This record gives sequence, structure tokens and C-alpha cells, in this order.
Amino acid sequence: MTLAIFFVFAAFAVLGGIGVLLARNPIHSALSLVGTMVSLAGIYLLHHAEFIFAIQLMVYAGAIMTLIVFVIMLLDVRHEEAETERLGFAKVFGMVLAGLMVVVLLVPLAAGLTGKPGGMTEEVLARVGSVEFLSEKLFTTYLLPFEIASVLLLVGLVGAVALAKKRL
Amino acid sequence: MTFSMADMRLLTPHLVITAAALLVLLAEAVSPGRRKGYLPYLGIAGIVVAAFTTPGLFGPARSGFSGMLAGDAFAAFVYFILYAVGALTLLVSDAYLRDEGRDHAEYYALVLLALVGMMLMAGATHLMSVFLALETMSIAIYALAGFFRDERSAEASFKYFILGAFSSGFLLYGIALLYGACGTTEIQGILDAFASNRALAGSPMALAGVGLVTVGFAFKVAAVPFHMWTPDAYQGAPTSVTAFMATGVKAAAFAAVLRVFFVAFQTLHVDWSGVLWVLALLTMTLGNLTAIAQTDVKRMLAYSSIAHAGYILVGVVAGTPEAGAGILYYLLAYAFMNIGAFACLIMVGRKGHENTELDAFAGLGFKFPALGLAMSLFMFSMAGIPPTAGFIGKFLIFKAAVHQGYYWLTIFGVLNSAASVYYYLRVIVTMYFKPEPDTPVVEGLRAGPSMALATILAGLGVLYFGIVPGGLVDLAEQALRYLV
Amino acid sequence: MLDFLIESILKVLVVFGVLLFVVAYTTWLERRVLGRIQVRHGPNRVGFQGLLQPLADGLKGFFKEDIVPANADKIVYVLAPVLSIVPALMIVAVIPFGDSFQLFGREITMRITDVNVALLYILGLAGLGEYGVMLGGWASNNRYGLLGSLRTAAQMISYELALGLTLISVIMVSGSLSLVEIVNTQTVWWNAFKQPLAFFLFLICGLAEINRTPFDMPEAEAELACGFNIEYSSMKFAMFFMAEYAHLISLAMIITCLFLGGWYLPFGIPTPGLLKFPVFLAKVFVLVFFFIWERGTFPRLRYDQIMRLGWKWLMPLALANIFVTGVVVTAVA
Repeated sequence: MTLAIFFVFAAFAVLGGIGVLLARNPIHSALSLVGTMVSLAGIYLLHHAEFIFAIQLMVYAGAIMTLIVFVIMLLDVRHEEAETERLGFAKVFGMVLAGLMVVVLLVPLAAGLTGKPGGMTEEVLARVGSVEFLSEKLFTTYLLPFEIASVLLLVGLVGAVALAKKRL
Repeated sequence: MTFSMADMRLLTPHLVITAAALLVLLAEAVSPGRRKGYLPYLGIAGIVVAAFTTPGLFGPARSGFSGMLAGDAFAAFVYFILYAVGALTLLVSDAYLRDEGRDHAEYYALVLLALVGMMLMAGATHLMSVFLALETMSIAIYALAGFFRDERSAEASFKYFILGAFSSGFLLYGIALLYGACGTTEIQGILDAFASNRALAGSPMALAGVGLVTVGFAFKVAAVPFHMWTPDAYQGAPTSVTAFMATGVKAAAFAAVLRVFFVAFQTLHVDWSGVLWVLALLTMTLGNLTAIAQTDVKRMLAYSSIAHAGYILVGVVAGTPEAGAGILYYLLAYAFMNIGAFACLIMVGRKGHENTELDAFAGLGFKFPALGLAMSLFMFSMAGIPPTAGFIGKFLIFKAAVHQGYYWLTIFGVLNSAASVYYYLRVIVTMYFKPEPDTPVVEGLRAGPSMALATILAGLGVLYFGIVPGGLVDLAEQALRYLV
Repeated sequence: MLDFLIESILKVLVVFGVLLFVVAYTTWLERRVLGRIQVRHGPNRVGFQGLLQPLADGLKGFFKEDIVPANADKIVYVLAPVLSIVPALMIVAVIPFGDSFQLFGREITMRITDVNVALLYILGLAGLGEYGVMLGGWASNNRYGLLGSLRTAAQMISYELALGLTLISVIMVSGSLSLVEIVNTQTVWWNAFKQPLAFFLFLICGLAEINRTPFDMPEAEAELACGFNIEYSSMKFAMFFMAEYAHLISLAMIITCLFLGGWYLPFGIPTPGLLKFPVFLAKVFVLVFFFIWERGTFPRLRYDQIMRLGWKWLMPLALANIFVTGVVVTAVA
């Protein structure tokens, strides 16, 4: 049952990804990306990661994609420039990287490689409840990275003001 | 309570500088439109206070925040390099920004926050912290590079941003693969995993992780072939930011490289040293050859900074504490000579005109003797001519490489170094032996007390550590003893 | 397993049936009350006191011509109303309407599902809610529509932040993300008393989030003719319309659960089991009435005023509230 739901979400995520690439209209690309984000959120939920699920929906599918759509609308880009049609260096490079990615994904499958199993098995995850567990980890073991992230956000804010504000 | 006062003790320098950055921002917000010449000095005061809280970190290694942050002599040594970089950058920026009409609190705050990111990169003992610190530093630098908001500055910022984001992806993917292979992202934990499990060193996942982490760092230190962003980013950015980028980012990135490669990947030296050998050779050679062809001094210094990254990489290849100490020394020496050289570049410019073409320097040696003297000193040091710090740095690194039997790499390094003398000396020759054109390009110098102070400090650093390097080298070796 | 499935399906049918009915009659209520406020009658011709008006409107929606503008982006144009109404209806799935009761020897809970992270679920769906409005305006290929869309995007992103921050202080007080548990912590003192500032901020942000007057920027009849839905007609327009009222009702229900003690009477007055659902309903009705009332009395804010209010006042206030709450919660514990 869970596996079936997973494959549904996974299929939608992949379809969305393909849609991003193939859509001629930037808004359609962005919408496909929203579809991928939402599907990913569903997959997170299947893994009992409720917090990541909500964040995925709020931050990625919600806020970030809204901003992207906002910018596309504001610039009123209806269709991609014809220039991107030809097979440029960037496209070849992108294809090579994508090919490498496929290899990296397929090799472990073929060789039966798995990562080192951690302490968080599905039973544990279902028991501890992801929000409590996550917050506890975040404020004890990972306190320093958490605080660095807050400085990082401050830097982003100040940087955006420095680059974009009309009169400083 | 999940952290103790001992933890906070390790984080004090970072906290002090963050507080200084916030103070700078608030000070301008509270008094808009008034005089704000004091802002950089507020930042320098913060750095000085932080410097006073740092010496306690020298000594045996300690670790805090559940193994996230090191409080060891290595971190402390790098912190001092970064204090020097930060303070000199702020000094250099003051008059420059005022002249260009861009002296805003955001600039000084971003410099300080980037400094915090750099320090955390040097101190972090967990790849998660390393990554977040690297991003903190990078995003601040992207914004700083575009701070002048003209076409060139925007181009610099944008190129650096796109390629930087790209390289972050590599680094993060590498970290993820390492986590898959080792089950941890702690630097000590990765070392233990590799040491306890011989088979792990041959696993494709671990090797791919190491490779991607290498690529990520190679972007940051501008090693060939991941250097494409460097010339445009360095040339387009405000000159003070270029100095900051070339010295601070390099110091922080190499500090992280040392921690990751010398500690976490210690047992894999055979695997990565070959790759870095090629990178070092390419970086030195390409950097130097392209620098020779440049007619713009700022762009030439950008390529020369690539070459210097190559020399430092030779030390990384050697992989011994001796080489590590050499790298630390080199980073400090490079900080002094590079910021000094860029300070001289700022001085010859005027609002809207950087005057960094080589021809602009014709005859300046006699017209402005102090400037000529300072620029010559920094050029000599960069070329590695005694008795300057640049010479000692190269000497230490090459010596360590020879001790490890990397004869060919050392020979290439020395040859490169010799080639670089050509373009460094060309600046000096132009300054002293070419007559000034009839319509002088540089009418006057953009020098104030702060600029003079920065140049004098940098010059003294280059000379002092070049003549009596002993104490500093001892400290660097002590730092490495606790690292490895 | 089977009876669980049947129970769930029945609940879904009942809840959505009732919800659609309530949505229909909220429109009637709004038009009548607005009429009284503006000293006119409002719809009173179809049926007694105009009570059949929503039915008539529905029929009209079905039979009107469905126009798609020639240069519209057809797919997105059709998709937008659906994207607008689906998240609006889905939110109701996690809202508890009351305690449980016994029926045929089974304990029936008054909610479709009780996820322990209901608040996160609501926030997640709220994040998706803006797409319908944004895309609708853009896809119609109309300047006014596009302007409405852009304003929606900016407004919703801005107020979502303050909304989320306000929720954090409520979570800190209640110690749970489950709406049922949050309600159960309010048997004596409602959160509206414990967190008056959060209540006030949530009310404002909530209104902005559902684009309700005085924050109805996307429509702003006087400036944008009709804003994002200017080109829509027939059932597609009706879907936008229904989504708007579904949002209104879910907001009222969420506020009831978060701040007004759900199905409990205030100050620890014991609530008899039979009264619980009516109490909940009464609170929701009061809120809905309040929303209609303020629509009739408040003038619309200007776009820049809305932005300034959100970023310079509501956000800092919400942050300060979190700080104070944190200090108090730590001191008490």
C-alpha cells in the first residue's frame, strides 16, 4: 500500500521534472516544478517526516515557487527566447552532468551498494514523532549549525538590501 | 541547558564580531544621514576585542557544541590571519568607499559577517557546519562584489554567485555521499570510519564523495580548471572586496581544506594526492602564464592569486604537518602582501576610474615615492624574493614537498615562481623606468590616514615576518601538531 | 478495517456536504447583512427572505455561457479555479468540530482525521492556496487580472510569514501541533486570553491571507475592475467565489480552535456533551458575522499600506510576542 502510494508520488515528481524541461512557457515550467515539489512533500509524509512535509509545502511549493511565478509574471516572459533552441555548450554540459548523475544513481543499484544504516529505522521514526525528535536534535546536537544558519539568513537579508535597495 | 560555558568560550570571538556587525547596522539605522565615518572603526574595534579573546584557544585541542566547533591552536592561528585580513580590509575600505560615495553600514556589516563565516569554516569540525559557514561567507561576498552596482561590479557578483552556487552543489553532494559511506559527517568520525574499515577506502560512494568535496573546495580556492569565475569576479568587484576575497576566502577555504583532507581523509592520502598533484601543477602554470599576458594590474593580480593557490596546493599535496605549517604561514604572508598591493591599486584610482592599466603606473615611482616603495615591496614579496614573507612562505612549502619526495612538483613550482618574477617586476619597471605620459593619468593619490596605516601595517608584516619568521613558524607548527 | 473505511467515507461526505451548504448560505448572510449595514434590503425576492437565492445563483452559474478569452492560456485558465478551491476544501479535513460521541455502540469523533501535526498541514495547504488566484489572473491575459495576481502573490507571501510566526507563540503555550490537543488545553483560559496579541495578529493576518476586506487587493473593484477573476464567468467564477467563502469559514474554524477554546465554554464552565458542537458552531458564526461586519465598515487599504503594515508592524510584533512568550513559558516552567 505504502509502496503503491510512493510510486504514485514518485511518478508525479518525475513527470513534473520532465515538464519543467519540456514546457515552452516559463509559467508552465514553474507549475510543473510546483507539482514536483508537492509530490516530494507527499514522499516525505510517507517517511513520517511531517515537519519536512509541511516545510516543503510552505517554503518550496508555497513561498519560493510563488516568488518564481511572481518574477515570471512581472517580467511578462511569455515564451523562451529562440536563442536557447540551439545545442549550445551549456546544454551539452548539462547533458553530460545529467548523464553522470544517472550513472551515479544506477551504479549503486547495479552493484547493490547501500549506505550505512543509521539509527532512524521506520519503527523508530513512527514512534518518536518527527517534530519532537527534529526539534530536540536541532536545539541540542545541531545547535551550532542552527545558529550559523541564522547568521546566514541575516547575511542574505543585508546582502539583498545592499544590492537592491534604491537609496541606502 | 545543552551547552556549557566552555562551549561558549570557544564561540566568543565569533559572537563578538557578529555583535560588532549588528552594532554597525544599528548605528546607521539609528542615525541615518549623519556622519558615519566611525563605522569601519567600530568594526575594527570588534575585531580587536575578538583578538583579545582568542589566545586562550591556543593549546591542546578542545571541542564544543557536540563536536561541531574546535577550539584548537589551528583554529586560533587561522582566526588571527582572518583578523588581520578583516582589519586591513576595513582600513582600506574607509577612504575608498567614501570617495566612491558608497560608504554604507551594509558594506562593513557584510565584511564582518563574512569574517564570522570564514572563522567558522576554520573552526568547524563537522561538515554541516563547514558547509553552512562556507555559505555564510560566500553569500556575503557575492553581495560585496556587487556593492558598487555598476555594470562591472554586477557582472562580478553575478558570475561569482552562479558558479559559487554551482560549486556549493558539488560540495553538498559530496558531503551527502560521504555521509552515506561513513554514516557521519563529523570530521573525526569520517577519519575513524576510514581507519576502522579498510574496504571503505575502495568504495565508489566514498571516493565519489571525496572527489565531489575536492571539486567544491577547488572552486572556492580558484584552482584550475575551476577558476573560470576568478578573473572577472576579481576585476569587477570593488578593489577592497577583491583584496578581501583573494586573501580571506583563500585563508578560510584552505583552513577547511586542511582540516578535511589532513584529518578526515588522512588515510586516503594516496588517493587524493594524485588528483591534487595535477590540480596544483595546472593551477600554478595556468595562473602564471595568463598573468604574464595581462596589461591590467588588477586582472594580473587576479591571475596571480590563482597561481598562489597553486603554490599552496603543493603544500596540501605533501600532506604533512610541516607542509600544513607552511600553508598557514603562506596564508598570513599572502594576506599582508596582497591587501597591500590592492591598497596601492586603490590609491592610484579616482572616483569612477580605477586606473589599473599597467600604463597608468608609468613614472609613478618617482612622482609618489612612498607608493612606489610600497608597491615594489609587495611585488617583490609576491614574486618570492628575499627578505620578504613571500619568499619564506614558498620556501617552507617547497621544502615540505621535497621532504615527501615530490621533486617534480617542486621543480615545476620553482620554475613557475621564476616565471612570475617577470610580470611582478614589470610593474616595478613601469613605475621607475617608464616616463610619465604628457597628460598624466594619475593626478593625485586617493590616500588618507587609514589607507596609509593599512599599507604601512601590511608592509611591516611582509618585512617583519620575512626577516624574523622563526616565532611565527613555531606557532604554525604548534597549530598543526594539535590538528593532526 | 471495512467499518473504519465506511465511517471515514461517510464523514467526508457529511462534512463536505455541510460545508458546501454553509458556504452557500454564508453568501446569502453576507449580502443580507451588508444590505442592512448600507441601509438597503439585499436579496429578498427568491423564497422567504431570499433564502433560495444561493440556489438560484448556483443554477445561474451552471447555465451561463462559459467564456474562455481568445488569448488566454487555456490549460492554466481552466486549472486555476480548481487549484483555488481544492486546498480550501482540503483544510477542513483536519479541523475538529467537537468531541466524540456514541452512535450504535461506536465512538465517533467529530473530525475527518486527527493528524498530530494538523497545524503544519494547514500551513502547508495555505501555502498552496495562492496559486489559484495568481494563475487565474495571469492566464486570462488581462492587464487588470495580471495586476491582481501580482498583488496577491506579494500580499500572501508577506502575511504568511507573520501568520506562521503568530502560530509559534500559540504552539509554545499549548505544547502541541494537534488542533485537538490545542483545544483541550483551553478548558479554563482560552488562548485569546493567554495570547491576546497573537489573537489580534492572527485575525489580521488571516484576513489578509484569505484576501478579505480590508485586504482585498486582488479584486479591489475600484482600481482593478475585478482583479484576478475579471475574465471568469459561469461555473469557473462560481468556483473562485466558493473558494473565497470556504476560506472564510475555515479561517473562522481555525481561529475558534486556536484561540476561542474550540467546543469549550470559557472560564472552566463545564460543557455538556450535547452542547459541544453547538458551542463550536456559535463561535464560528460569531466570527463569520464579524468578518461580514468589518467588510461593511472598513475601507480598503492601499497596496503600499498593506505591505508596510505587514512587514514593519505585524512581523516585528509577532517576533516580539514569541520572545515574550518564550521568556514567560521558561519562567513558569
